[in-house]
Amino acid sequence: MDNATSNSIIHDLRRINLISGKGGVGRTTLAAALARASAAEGKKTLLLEIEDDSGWDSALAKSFGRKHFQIEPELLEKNLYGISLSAVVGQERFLQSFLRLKSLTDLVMGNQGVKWFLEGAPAFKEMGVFFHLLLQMRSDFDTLILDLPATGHFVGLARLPELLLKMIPFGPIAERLREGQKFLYDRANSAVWIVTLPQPLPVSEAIELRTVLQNESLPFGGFILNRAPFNPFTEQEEELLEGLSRKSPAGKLLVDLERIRRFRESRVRLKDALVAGTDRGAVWIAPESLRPDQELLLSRKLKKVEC
Amino acid sequence: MLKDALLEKRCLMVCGGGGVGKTTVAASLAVAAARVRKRVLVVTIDPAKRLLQAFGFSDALLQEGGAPLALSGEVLARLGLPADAGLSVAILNPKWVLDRIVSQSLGPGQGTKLKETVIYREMGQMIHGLQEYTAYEWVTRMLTDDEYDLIVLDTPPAFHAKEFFNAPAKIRNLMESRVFQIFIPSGSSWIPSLLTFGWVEKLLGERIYRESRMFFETFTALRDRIIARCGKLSEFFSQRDVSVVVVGTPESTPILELEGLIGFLEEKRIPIEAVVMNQVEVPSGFERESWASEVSPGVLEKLDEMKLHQDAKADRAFESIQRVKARHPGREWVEFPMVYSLDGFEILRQNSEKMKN
Repeated sequence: MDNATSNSIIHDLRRINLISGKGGVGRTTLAAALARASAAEGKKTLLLEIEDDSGWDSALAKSFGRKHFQIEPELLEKNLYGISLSAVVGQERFLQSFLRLKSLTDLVMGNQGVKWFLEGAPAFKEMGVFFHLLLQMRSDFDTLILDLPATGHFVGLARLPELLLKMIPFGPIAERLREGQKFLYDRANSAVWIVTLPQPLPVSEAIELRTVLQNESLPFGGFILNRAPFNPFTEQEEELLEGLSRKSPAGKLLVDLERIRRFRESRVRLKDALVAGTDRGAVWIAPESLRPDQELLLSRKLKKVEC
Repeated sequence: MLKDALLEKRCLMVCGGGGVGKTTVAASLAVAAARVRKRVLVVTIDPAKRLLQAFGFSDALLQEGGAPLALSGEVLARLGLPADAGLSVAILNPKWVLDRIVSQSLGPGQGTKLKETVIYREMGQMIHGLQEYTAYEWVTRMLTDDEYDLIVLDTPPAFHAKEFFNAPAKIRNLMESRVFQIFIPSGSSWIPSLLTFGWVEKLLGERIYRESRMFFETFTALRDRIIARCGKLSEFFSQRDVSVVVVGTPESTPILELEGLIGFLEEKRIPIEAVVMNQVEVPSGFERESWASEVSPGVLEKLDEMKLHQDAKADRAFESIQRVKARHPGREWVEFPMVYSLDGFEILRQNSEKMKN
């Protein structure tokens, strides 16, 4: 193996990868890029997203020339499949595995009252998505890459079992929750990746999120610092330019030099956070690309920060 | 015009996808409004409490539940506001609002019983639309109490901004659904069949079944009130003095989301006051002549290259804004630049200045 490939993020991926990050950090683009790279390595890869009942086009599916993914794995490119995890499908499959009878399942699921209940009632929606995810985790895919939704806090899928088991400690639902938990908490086979931007607030949020993962004993893969600015300068040159810039009549850094400084600070903060933590992991840098078609090659350009 | 809205409206809701800077925009709007109106309140549901941080409140105050906090004279000055400006900030805690509703609607005994069920305790996180519902409930009350001339609402982070507007209908559907009868077998519903199969209990386990029953039995008393409220909420936007400010950024995915949101609001006939394009990249400030004598030719060449990159980014942002504007003629657009070097107060001050014109 040459140096370039052994330093590729692809070799750090686990079987199950949850890609998380706040809205606007480029999470979806990275998930697509990682999935493509994994498939190119010859791994049978499944790219998952969580259905969005708003009826809007999916940005993830769009990068594969589709409006939406299907509710079953669908071949997108060589070795690469896509799926949209759906609450209703998960609920149906679960009920069916429990009731055995399709007709009874249809009767229950077809009822408007039940529909409204499942849509709005405590946690049933998440539970449905979770069961649908569980079915995929049981499958024979070599790599799973899940683009997590951008909701504010990470009370996401990985933490759902914990919450629900408090209320439903026994029975068939609990059994499946525990099975799913086993997949997600398995350090050798799962990891959460945190995508962030080289700005103070997103970096703080990424570090906080990692603390949450650590407290929850969820395996952490690494930080992906996205949209690193174009920077041709050596560190000495950066210092020199910042000094000169501050002496200028405006007394302020040029906007592009300021970006470079913010990036440097972000990288240092993430690295320090890694050292302070108990779990391993790395910081990966993804450069910004000016053209959308370059984004597809992103995974090859990811660079690991030496710690 | 946004300028007039800041002077005349009673409520502006700031909506947009995740990461577009809703909180900064809401704060900037509030600062701009505080120049022309006496009593302005900006409210957030963001659990990260960024809004309070943006106004320089210390961590000690971040724990507050409901009561608005007025900005100090020092902060007002840094924002370029006169010393007698009336600008307050509040963090909406959905749990706190819900507890108040429960206390007002149920007797103390029943209220406590309800609050003790696991379902109620975890409810805020689990019922879709509940956070949003409490925001409406709270804003409606604040408008009725007439303590503020204008309320700027920073809507909660959600999977999609649209969920905020669908929340009342969702909650109403849930409240009206026959699910209550699933857990209350004495009801004269045709659903008891679900219970007589006995599998609901088997499926959910004894504890959750028992708790659910207690929850639903007690909660029933609240239903009527919530259903009535939700009815009123659908009229919320037909009020002339309420409108929406939509926020987006010129990146490809956020633009997709922004246009979806505009289309959705148009379809629902919810008035859009203006569209704010946030985090717009600006051209590099690099001028070769003034640096030529300061640095080596090698560094100068690198600076040229850096400028090319930044200018290309600015061009790309400009073009995508032009395209999206052309698709939505007749709308008012406001652009806030991407800033890296300013402190928070300076950003809010400069943004709010922009809204004067």
